Amino acid sequence: MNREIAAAAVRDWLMTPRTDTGVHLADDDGGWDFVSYAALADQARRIAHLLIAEGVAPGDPVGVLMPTSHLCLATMFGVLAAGGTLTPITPPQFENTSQYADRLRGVLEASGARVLVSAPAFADAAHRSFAGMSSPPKLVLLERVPDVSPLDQLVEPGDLALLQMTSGSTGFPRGVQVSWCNLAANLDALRGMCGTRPGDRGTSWLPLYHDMGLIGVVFQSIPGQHEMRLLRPDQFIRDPLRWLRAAAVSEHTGSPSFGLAYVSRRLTPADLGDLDLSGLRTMVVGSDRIDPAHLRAFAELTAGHGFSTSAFLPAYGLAEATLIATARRLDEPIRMTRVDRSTLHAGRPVDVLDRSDDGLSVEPASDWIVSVGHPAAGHGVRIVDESGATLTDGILGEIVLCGPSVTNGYRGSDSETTRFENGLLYTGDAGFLVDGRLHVLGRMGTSLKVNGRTVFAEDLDLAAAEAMGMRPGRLYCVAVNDGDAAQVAVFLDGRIAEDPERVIGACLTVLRARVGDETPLWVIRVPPGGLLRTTSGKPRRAHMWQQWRRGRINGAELLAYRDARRHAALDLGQVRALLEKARSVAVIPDDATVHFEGSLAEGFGNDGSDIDLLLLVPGDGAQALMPTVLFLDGRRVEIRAQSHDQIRGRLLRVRQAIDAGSLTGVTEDLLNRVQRFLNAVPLRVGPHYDDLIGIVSCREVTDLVARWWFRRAGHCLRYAAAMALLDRDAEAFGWARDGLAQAMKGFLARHGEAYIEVKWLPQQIERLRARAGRAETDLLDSYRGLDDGASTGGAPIGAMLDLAAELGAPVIRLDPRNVVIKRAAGVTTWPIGSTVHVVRGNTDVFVLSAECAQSWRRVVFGQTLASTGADRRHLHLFARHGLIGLGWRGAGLMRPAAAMCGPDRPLTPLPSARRPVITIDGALPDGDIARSPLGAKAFAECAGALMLANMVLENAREDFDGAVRGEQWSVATLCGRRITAMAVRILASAWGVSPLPADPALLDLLPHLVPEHRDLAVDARRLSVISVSSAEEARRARAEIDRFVQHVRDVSRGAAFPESFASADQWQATIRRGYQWLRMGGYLGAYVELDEVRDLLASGGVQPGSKASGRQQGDQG
Amino acid sequence: MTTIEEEVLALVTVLAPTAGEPGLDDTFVGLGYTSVRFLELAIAVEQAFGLRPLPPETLARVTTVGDLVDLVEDLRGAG
Repeated sequence: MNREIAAAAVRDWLMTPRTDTGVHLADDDGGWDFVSYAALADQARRIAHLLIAEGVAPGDPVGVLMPTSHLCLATMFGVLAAGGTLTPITPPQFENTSQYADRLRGVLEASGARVLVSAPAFADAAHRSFAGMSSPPKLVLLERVPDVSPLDQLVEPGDLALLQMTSGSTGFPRGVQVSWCNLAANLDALRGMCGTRPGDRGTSWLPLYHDMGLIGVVFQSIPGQHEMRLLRPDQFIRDPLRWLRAAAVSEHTGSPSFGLAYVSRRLTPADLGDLDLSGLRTMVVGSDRIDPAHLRAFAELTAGHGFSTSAFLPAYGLAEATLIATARRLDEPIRMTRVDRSTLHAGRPVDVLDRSDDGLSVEPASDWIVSVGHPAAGHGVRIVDESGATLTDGILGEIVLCGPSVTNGYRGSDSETTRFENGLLYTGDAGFLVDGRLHVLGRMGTSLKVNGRTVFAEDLDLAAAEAMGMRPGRLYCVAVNDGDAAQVAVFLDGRIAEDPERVIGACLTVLRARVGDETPLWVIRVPPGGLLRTTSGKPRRAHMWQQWRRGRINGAELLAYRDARRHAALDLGQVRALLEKARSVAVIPDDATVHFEGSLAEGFGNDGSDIDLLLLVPGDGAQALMPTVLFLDGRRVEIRAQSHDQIRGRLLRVRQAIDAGSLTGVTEDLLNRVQRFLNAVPLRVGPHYDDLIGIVSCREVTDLVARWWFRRAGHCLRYAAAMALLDRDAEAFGWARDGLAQAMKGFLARHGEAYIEVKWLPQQIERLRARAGRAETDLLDSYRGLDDGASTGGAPIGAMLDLAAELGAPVIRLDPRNVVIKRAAGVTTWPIGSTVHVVRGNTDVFVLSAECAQSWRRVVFGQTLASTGADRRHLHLFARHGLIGLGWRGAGLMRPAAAMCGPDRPLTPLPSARRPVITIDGALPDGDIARSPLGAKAFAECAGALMLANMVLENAREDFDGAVRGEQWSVATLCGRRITAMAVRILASAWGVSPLPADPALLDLLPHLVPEHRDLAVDARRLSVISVSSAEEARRARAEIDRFVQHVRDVSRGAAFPESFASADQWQATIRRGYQWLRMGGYLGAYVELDEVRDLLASGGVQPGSKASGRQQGDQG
Repeated sequence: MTTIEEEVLALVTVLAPTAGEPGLDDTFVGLGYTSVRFLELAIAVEQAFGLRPLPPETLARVTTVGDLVDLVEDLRGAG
């Protein structure tokens, strides 16, 4: 059939209309308005003339948005007469004006309509929709037939007769492109299936913008100039008997299944009076799922009024195949098939329990399927599997249509479920054939695969409603394949009046029976009116689920959540009950979203675990982080509150880290909180919750967590390797074991187990094992073996490193060339005399033994364990005390952190108990590395005081001798007392007293400050009041004081201090020692008392006028 | 609260597909009304107040329960 012949079949009547027949339109007073085809054709051709004048060219899409009227019918054919492409548009239906305007704008944009013909009643809606459109269509408002002459010749048509707009339930409008040939072929098919003969009459109440009303009624009747009675849907709903009365004087009518149920509900056989339906030859039933109970109810209503059930014409069709695809053949019985819905399995035979060719006599049950018969002549139907291969009779698969009615695809957005490929229409509907007869099960998109079986949401609706004792309209089910896991959600509206726990339990039980134990189940209560439906009342299942997942259903409550793989035995009812109790004792804001999170929500924990509830409070308040802890029913319930801003801040930080591909700034706490948030079970959804959803996905965060663990494991494992290479086997095993556990956390995170808490590692492993493949299971087994071995110290470290690498951690080889000695920040070296002091972080002073000091001098930063001259045992000590860092070639400094610990910190042992604490040659070594009891600054100040006291003492000794020579006895007396005071100061400084108290106090406290040498305190007290008045007394006094000083210097190990400044060498040695101390003191900011002493620092230890260098020590700071 | 308002609310409540107490600001879509159910409501309202059948274009402008109350009050005032 070519385009001209096809167009002629649809339009030629316009040029040869009849006056003796026409269209009866129901009016609102119970009567009918009649317009003859001659009048209708005249109107259509006048409108066509107007449209051409308005610029409509052949093939231009023309939107028609009009109430049901003769004018509307005339406009539709006027568009076709002008050669345009008819694009019927659904009028507004009790939706608010801005919503409708948005919808209309979407339809107009998707269709590309150049002209929109409408009625004054819809002018406002049309103008609103034009706002924001870059090139809105031209609006032609028709109130009556335009006052122009009729077109005298039909315009050459464009490619498409119709653009049939469908929005489906997802809300993206698209137009089905129906060519003239498609339309003519489908009208032929319809005529054949209905056995239409010239002179037959039709009746319909279907809306004209809907495919069944438009193609099946308007185009089926008008071009053949059949007498037609049209009611509007609202007139049918108002008075269904009117439809039956009109049908009684017709041969053909039709209805969706629910229309039959509606009539049967509204009318009794008595209402039908003397109505005679025996002349009705076809009652096409289509458009939605055909319920055998509906057919039976209508048959029972009309049985006494001549209606023959053989008039039922169960049919299957869709706009993408113009309209009709298959229908029962009039000469065949009504076939019904009862299938075992529990075994539906795509690609496998349907388990047929029963079949009937007189289905209306069997007790209708929901597991009966009414066959929709055979394809139209010249058309084909087949069932295919996922690869597109054709399946034989009795096997479940996708329904695919072919033939001249299959349209040219969509204009606007494509559909995900209904596809056009190579002239074939993949309908997205699931079905099977029996003896070549088609049986439709439901949409593939709302079906669910359970172990390969296919379960349809429509079936679940019925089962859930029955189990819960609710009317079917109060709930619907959504079967979704989110990611790779199938899930089922029950959305219900309103309260469960009695015993909700039992009712919910019953619902879960029947659903489990149908979808299996493995499929996660949700039972969600939405606020009143929250069950989303299309305006024709069909559940918007996928959309509802999306709204839930995006956190957009304000007021929604999760009544039950069951995921056997995740939560072995989570009793959400108990958690909800505890939440209710908590409400009475703690402040829970009404607008807070309530998250159940933590170990139990993650699927771990036990009877003793805390119930962790997090309140997400809208806004920017900085909520207290400290939890409120309640003890309810023997459980500890922790309720914490966080503002949306706080949570969003964390999510955005993680988002940034993911986008930057960097782990910088990603802390354990941040990951832990974000991960818990994403894995939480939302018990109640409050306003603006959706602002927090979708910033990062679970998958992104588990990837980040995996990387984070692997990096952390890398530090531990390298450190383990370094310890092994330093011959510290026990410590090496410890780190390797911890590193391996962290690598396992990373491995688990990579497989979706991202909970940070390490204590649940065994459970995470078990959960992964339950669903893991062979390769993963082998790794899990190896881990368990090595972990057991490691706990007894028996596992070889190399094997542990290898397994960690297989799990995903960095590859680490036990090679000394990999361990690099690194400078540690804030570590300085201070040799005093022959003693090496190492100051760490300007706080701790370590004294090295002679052997250690030798190794220390051999430490060269950048060398490896293979090249260093330092002793390994000492290197380990240096590393342990944080005096050096250990790096790994190519991986920087190692900063190992055991699980559930902060990063490893340098060792700070108790201070050395050796006395004196300090000498003029530094502190006394005590083992390999000893820590001074003095902090670094006090250490330097104490040494400064020690040096000063020594110097002043020698000065005083010279002054004493001078005074004796001059027989100045009172001066000698004072000098002698001064020598004593200085000796006391030396003793106190050597014992670490810093700063020193005033001399009288010091003298008094000396027995306590230096308890080891109480005898010296006694001597000091006596000498502090010594008096000289003669040469003999001076001699005795000097001898006694010298003994005392000698004694003090012996115990404070200061005997090496020069006894006098008589020689230049002695002066130089004194200066050098003092300089070493002063540089240290200067570096550490120590207080030094004497200006002259401080000048030593400025002079660099060089005596004025001397050329000898005093710089002997370097520091490694 | 006027009598008309009370009666309309009572009808809306009885016919609402979902449980709850509708208020004047509730939309019919929000209350779970489908186009068929809404028409049934319109018929009930017409009968209760003795109104002529409400044409679809008039009903199309009714979005909320309050709109329906206003419509009935207008028609009663005019009639």
